[in-house]
Amino acid sequence: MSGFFTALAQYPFLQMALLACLLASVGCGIIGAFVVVRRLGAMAGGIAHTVLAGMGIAFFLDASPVLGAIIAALISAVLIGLIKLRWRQDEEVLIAAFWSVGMAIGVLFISQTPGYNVNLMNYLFGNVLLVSEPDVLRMAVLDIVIIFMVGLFYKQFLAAAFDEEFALLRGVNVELFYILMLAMIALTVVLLIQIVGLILVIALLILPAASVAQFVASLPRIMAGATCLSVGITFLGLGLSYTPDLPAGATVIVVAGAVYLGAIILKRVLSRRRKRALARQ
Amino acid sequence: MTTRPVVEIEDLSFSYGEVPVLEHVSLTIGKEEFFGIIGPNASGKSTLLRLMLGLMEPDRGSVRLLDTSPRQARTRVGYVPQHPGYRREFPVSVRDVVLMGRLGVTAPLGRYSSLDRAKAREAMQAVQVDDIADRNIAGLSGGQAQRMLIARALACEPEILILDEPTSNIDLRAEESIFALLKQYNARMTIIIVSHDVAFISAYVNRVGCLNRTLVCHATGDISGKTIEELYGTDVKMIQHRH
Repeated sequence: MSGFFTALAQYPFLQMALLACLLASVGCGIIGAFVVVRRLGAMAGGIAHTVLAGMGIAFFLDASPVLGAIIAALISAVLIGLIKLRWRQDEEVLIAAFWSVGMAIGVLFISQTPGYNVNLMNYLFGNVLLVSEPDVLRMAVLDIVIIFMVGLFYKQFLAAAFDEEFALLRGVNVELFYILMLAMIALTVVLLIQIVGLILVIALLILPAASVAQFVASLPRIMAGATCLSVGITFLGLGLSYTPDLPAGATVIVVAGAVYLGAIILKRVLSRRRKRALARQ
Repeated sequence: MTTRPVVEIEDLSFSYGEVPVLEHVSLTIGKEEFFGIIGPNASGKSTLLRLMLGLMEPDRGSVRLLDTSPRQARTRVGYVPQHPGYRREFPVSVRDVVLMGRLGVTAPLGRYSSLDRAKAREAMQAVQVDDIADRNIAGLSGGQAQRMLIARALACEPEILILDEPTSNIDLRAEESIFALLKQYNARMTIIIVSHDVAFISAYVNRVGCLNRTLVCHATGDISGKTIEELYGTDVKMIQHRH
């Protein structure tokens, strides 16, 4: 780790990587909390994998892959939401279909891209060390959009997540806010893909919020806690991976998994101790 | 100036697929009436409420609330569901839930106002959950959760308050205090309450609708063994005799 800190002072690309982790953590904490309390993990996974379609098409057209990712994620979020709500189709089937078909489309386009020399691994598993200044700026814009939307409509997002029928009766357009939430998830997925790639993205989206939710019972606190924890997880993952030259994305995800495991063990120990203390009284 | 009735239902019929649930139901409820709906299980009570709330559309006939469609009237109606539509482990406090009643009244953007918070506090005090306002909902008893849902509906400041079996999880003493409270609120709003508890409800309401696919209304003085027998059949008559 000490090698990492000397390198950090020396190399701007590492500073850029840390900044990217910081920015990704903001969206991750806010939207991750909603994903956990609304149980939208599988949905987020489905949206994440369709991103490959957007990136593949972007390569084929020689356009910006991140732009392709944003468009694909938003389209799939809105389509899954609309088909589920309007055509009454089963969510699980829709997720499976979008997940694999999205990836398949991506693979087809990449295979047909002239001079096929794309480093696919970077998009599948992320490479935060390649994050550039425009990438970081784009991430900041995505964060601002997420904070703005959730700040403006927090009441409606919370009410629709908590009790859909009652929210509807209070005049909240629950279908619109469901689709908006999926769109926010789509943007967050694009944020996180820069750090860990699209295959590993669900873990980083869910595990920090799920860890914090073991101990905290208010949505804003879960958001704040998950943001801080996500900063810690991504920094630690990056630091640990640097000296032995391990893939940063995969290291971050292993750290996230370890933190979650630690959280659920700690929760169990604490509740047992409390039960024993109550029994003694 | 004549005041229009707050609920006007005309020749309403509804079926789930082939199974008829409501047939030729007509009902008029006046302003500030305290109206009870009783009937056996699966008699269509909850379905009738859901049609009034515009959560379902009738196959035939019409429902009008507050001189408009149920959907248009929605935010002027407070609703206490029989089965809460939330997960107990959702990370919110009692106060957070009661504040949700302010949606539709409060400004759509940003946070709840100080007026919203004051109205929520008032509603929590009325049903005596103000002392557990900051408690997480996961730890509530059935009775506390039910009172929280009543507070959420009162926080709407509704013109019509609709309650579906609001006292099913509550012991008798708490039930009496809730009915006494509703009686007070009745001076400000029309109250429609569904119950299977025939004897109890008739002490509080002005009028009772006996529902078993079709609806027959009675002023509360008129409920006799005969009407109950017609509604429930002989099983209930035997229970009545034991009293």
